[in-house]
Amino acid sequence: MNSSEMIPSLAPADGSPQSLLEAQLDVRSHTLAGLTWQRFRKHKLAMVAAVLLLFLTMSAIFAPLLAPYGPNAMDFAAFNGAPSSAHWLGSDFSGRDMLSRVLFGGRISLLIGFTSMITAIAIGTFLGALAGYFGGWVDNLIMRLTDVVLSFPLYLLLFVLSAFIAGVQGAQSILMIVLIIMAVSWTYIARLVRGELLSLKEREFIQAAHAMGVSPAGIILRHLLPNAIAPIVVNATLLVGNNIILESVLSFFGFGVQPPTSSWGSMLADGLSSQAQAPWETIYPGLMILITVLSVNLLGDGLRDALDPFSDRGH
Amino acid sequence: MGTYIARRLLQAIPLLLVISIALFGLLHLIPGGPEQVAFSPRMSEQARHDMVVALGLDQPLPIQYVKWLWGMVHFDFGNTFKDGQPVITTIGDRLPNSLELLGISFLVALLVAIPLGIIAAVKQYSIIDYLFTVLSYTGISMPVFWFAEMLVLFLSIQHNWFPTGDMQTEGQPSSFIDSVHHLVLPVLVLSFAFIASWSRYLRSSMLEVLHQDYLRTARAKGLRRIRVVLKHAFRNALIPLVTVVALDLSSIFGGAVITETIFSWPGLGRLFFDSLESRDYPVLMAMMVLSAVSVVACNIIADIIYGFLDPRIRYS
Repeated sequence: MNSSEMIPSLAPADGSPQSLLEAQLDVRSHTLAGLTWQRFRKHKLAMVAAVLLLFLTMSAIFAPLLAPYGPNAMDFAAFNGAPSSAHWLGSDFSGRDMLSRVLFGGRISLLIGFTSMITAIAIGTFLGALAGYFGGWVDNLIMRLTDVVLSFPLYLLLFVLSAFIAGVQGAQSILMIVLIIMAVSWTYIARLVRGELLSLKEREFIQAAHAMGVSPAGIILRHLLPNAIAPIVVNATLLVGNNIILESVLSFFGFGVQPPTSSWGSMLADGLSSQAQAPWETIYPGLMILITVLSVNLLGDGLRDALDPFSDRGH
Repeated sequence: MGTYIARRLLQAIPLLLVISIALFGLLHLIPGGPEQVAFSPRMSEQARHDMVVALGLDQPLPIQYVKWLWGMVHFDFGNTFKDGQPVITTIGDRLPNSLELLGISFLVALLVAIPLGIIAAVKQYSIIDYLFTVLSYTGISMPVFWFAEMLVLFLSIQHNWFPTGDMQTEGQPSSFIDSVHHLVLPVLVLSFAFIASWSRYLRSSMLEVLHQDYLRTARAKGLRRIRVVLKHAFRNALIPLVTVVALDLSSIFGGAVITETIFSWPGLGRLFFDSLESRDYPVLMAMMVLSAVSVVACNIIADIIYGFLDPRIRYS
């Protein structure tokens, strides 16, 4: 923000020297959120993505009001029915309305995407902060743990963990999936937070906090983490998209949410058997995943640029 | 450099030990252990007991672990539950199929990703660049299995241009054309994901290099633009890409689980998936260990190549 641009709009009507000086110095306080918003607004694609994501989230939350039918209500007149005025997106092999199912499936997919992100960020930040702040054997132990998790190809680890799901029903299966996705996705954020803290903790203001007798927890929570918030927010955003894909893979291969509950991923698996007669059963749920994850990724990219004033966008 | 490599290799040993313990414990924690799943329910109690003893499953877990580890050090991964074959033979049978699929996909991906990354960087903000950005974002945001399903739907089911799976048409003598025909879709799916990520890497590392002073100097000397881009910029921009590709190489032992499963490709990924369904523990454990070894090895190799290509990096 160039302060000279601000003069016309901020110059007070009375034109007194005192207020003119204040205007020139631009003494308004800028919060991180305010500055970020100003930069983010200019990123058109990310704005579109944010609006789209808001729309998708709203339609998931209000699915019971928006959906024309119940997610499991069967229309015996339309098995594998093509898109029509009664069923806008067609109906599936047992006559269930695709539009309603896509809306309700979105609740599960988004719910798992967001909650697994929050748990992964929480555990990753916690472990990363411990490792970065305390160093020594704590750091060594936590970093070797991340090495172990990262030593397996992602999908192998994911599938092995999901064998634990067998026989788990309903809401519990959702909780299990969240835990499994968390278990494979906390490592990156832990390394990131550790790296940030390693460099931040050498700075003078941290030494000052030490000298004033602030406890380690206070230093980490009040002084270190707030300064590392930008990369955490960016990666949290990208993680939502990643986790929605991971959930869809699990559900697609039958390790994820169990019927009658369904997510976009399990709808894809359901539609596979009637793919030839009713392609809409596999097209729409996948399209929803694509649109959601694409919006999340674009939003994350916009946030990255907005939060880092020095980023000149390599592109 | 020699001491560096030796140190990295020594460090890898405790890591692999911890991995093997974690893995062994994890697989034995899964509900429905080997003794419940591996045997037919019609088996008599006595026969079941004999089998458990024969496989050593009655012994305490630490002893089972040590025996397993000791065998593994000698490349003896035990026998599969499914047909009693040595695990190493089963894996050996599948490895060439995975290598074929992954090797060709890697090659295709490199051949497409490198020119794409260079052009997108050189022609920054052009139509090509925007098109490329949209495509790579789509590639990253799309679930691989859905892309595969859509290809099967439109190209195999609706138009019957390509087979929906397998390596060759059953009941026909194998022919080169037939094999290629079966390769097209899985290679397309696998290489698409690699292209999306590799070309983005190359594009951003090219952009970083293109703005450096020595490139302006090269241009000022009167060198042609194409020569500057390809000889001076590309060679340096390639360094980060080499690391990424080397790390992706480690996915060979995991196979391409998703792609192989969808296209019924008889490779390691498919073997893993099938073994998980039937709880064939010896196979699962061997594959997980081998893939962990290959990830660790590829990490070391990537670091070594990096130090080799970039003389600014000095390992001590």
